[in-house]
Amino acid sequence: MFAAQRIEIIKDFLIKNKTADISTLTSILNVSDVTVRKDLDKLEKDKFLLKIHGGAVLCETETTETISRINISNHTAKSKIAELALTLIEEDDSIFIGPGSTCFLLSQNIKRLKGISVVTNNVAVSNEVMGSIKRTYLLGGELKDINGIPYTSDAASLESLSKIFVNKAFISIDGIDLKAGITCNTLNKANLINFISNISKTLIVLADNEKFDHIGMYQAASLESISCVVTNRCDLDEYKRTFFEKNIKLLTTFDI
Amino acid sequence: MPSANTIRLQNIFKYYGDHTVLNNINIEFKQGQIYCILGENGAGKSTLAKVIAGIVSIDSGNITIKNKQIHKLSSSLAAKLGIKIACQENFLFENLTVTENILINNEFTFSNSCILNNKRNNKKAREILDSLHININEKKLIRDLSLPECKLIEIARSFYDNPDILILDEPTAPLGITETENIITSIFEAKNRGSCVIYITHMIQEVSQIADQIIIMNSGSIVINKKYSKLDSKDYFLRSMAGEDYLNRYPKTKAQKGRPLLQVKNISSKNGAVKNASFTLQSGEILGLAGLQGAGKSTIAKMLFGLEEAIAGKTLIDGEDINICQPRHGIENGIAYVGDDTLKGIFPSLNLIENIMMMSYNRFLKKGFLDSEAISIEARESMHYFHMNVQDPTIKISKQSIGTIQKSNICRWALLDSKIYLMDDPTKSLDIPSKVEIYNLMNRIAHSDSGILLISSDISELVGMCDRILVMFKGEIIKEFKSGESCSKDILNCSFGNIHNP
Repeated sequence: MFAAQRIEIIKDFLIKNKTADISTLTSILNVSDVTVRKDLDKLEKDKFLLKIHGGAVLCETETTETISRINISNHTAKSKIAELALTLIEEDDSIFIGPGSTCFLLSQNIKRLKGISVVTNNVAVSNEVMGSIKRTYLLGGELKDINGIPYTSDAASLESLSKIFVNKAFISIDGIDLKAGITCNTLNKANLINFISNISKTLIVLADNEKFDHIGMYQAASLESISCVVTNRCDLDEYKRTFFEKNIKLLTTFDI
Repeated sequence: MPSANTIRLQNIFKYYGDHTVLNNINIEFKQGQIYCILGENGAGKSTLAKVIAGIVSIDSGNITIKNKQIHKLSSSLAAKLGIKIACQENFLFENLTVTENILINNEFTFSNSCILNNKRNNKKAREILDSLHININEKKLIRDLSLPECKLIEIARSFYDNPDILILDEPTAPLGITETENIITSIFEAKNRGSCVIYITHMIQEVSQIADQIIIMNSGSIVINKKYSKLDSKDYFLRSMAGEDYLNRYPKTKAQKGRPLLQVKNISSKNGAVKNASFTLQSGEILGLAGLQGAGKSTIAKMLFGLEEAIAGKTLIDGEDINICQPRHGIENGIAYVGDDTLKGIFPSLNLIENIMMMSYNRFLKKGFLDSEAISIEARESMHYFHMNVQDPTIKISKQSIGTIQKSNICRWALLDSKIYLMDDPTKSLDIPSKVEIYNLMNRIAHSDSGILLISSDISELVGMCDRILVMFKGEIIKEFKSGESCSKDILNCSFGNIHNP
């Protein structure tokens, strides 16, 4: 077992039990206590836990609370996708972030980068990044929500989009299929994605495992309009082949 | 008098597994003309040559030689029809003399005598060597000759008896200037005698000297087939050879660059393949190494891992001067080596789990015995972590797919917490899904505080996946390209030895 795996196990343990002592961790992980202490040091530096005598206690930060309030399905997969998508963003980028929980998770880490401007219709995203980045632009419209994450939706709001420049657009979708392309279950979302695919230089689709071979109600864009797909699913040989041949990047997640 | 249409190839296809090596080839070769075939590594030039010479069979299509359609072309039939080839690899018998090697496929096949080394044959060999201005004693054994001398004998063998169709695959690569000039003169003489000469090369300079017709191949297809004109620009040829840059297909992510993991200063190899090379590899970086075959790329990796001897220079790992004389030193210092032969790195009769864990067994010693349960658990966890989804990991590894085998070649090093990965053409024989998986695996490695030296003959792959690319030429590193500053065409041009853009 190596470091990244041990860290995951410690994190899961702490989220479940709130506290952990070194002797329990050494027997679960089957490593020396020196190794466990080094892992705890790293997690303390990342502000995930607080070291106490003989063990550690979970840091109840705002982030952890927000997550449990929103109750995101397939959370582990989505957060890995968000972490990996973050590596595609460079300083001074102007990006669009779409509605949904995966996009929200992406926005949580954007503050780490400098000079980023975000255009979004995802209210949770705008709350998350506002003040910590160069510029935040929230599109207006009627409020709707997906799984507790509110977003604005209005044909008129798309008009204002046409005046703004973004070089990267991150969206999540309801379905991706080799023949049908990317699809959504609501007409509003489909229209939004269609519009974005035409104005953004690159379109990056965040798709967890459940979305593949799934066809939603409305077609949002063809496969050819996608630049990159970030997913946690690794067994899709036909998708790997098709994307490579169509010059589309396929990134599969790992623990960073 | 042979017919004007000496060879015609129609709708030729050749596959190696998933890979289309020759893609619908349609071409004619006529007597008294010199055809130059150009293309990148892997374009299919050598395969095409071998198909004409009967060494490689085709999967579909028609071959017509001297107006006769040939249903199954073998190398002996090709020789009987007057087709001779000097391949890139030297097919010489080390323990025989020059005379015996020159005549063996020419005289022996058609004569009753088993003795080649007699006065008459030596005289014949001497004649052909003299006509090609080759100054080698015909009685010498091949094993006593240098590499350029062996190449000259290989060429002499193909010229013997003035074949109607002469195929030369990169004949002048190891030769010096005078020897190259002599070969070129001989080629003109062959043309004037009415032979059809098919000349495969990387060197655009040679093409301008001899070509009547220029053929450019890319990814198994013929993209250009035209009369050579001095007005054609070098840039035009380079672009046709390199093809379009489909770079977005490579799943490159940027990892944080950290400390210099590996610093190489002025190293040279004992076998002369690498001269005075220097570079640095940082953590988080994928550093590419480009160059023609024989430029020294593989030798650098072998030197860093202790498989080839270094005679000069310093290697620093994490700032410390380390002497690597054998692989054990490489392994102890966190260096991982994935060689260019996927199947050579495995234990074929053992299963996937055993192969992945082979280098980590010492961690599982319990009172002198191996804790097989713990080994099995860690192996399965690792396979899950590296997305190796196999139906049955307990069967012989040689029965697994080549993609899985290559992944296991990389994973076994990750279990040792290696930091410096030397990868030599890691995706060479893989199908597309496996290639994509290996690229994503490289990202994972780069993001875990490690660095990768990626040696590849696929220039697009280098441009797509690397942060920086070093180009080697004749043993030296001649230029460095940064990601975003380079395209395939420029790197290809540089690999021919040209530091400045055309």
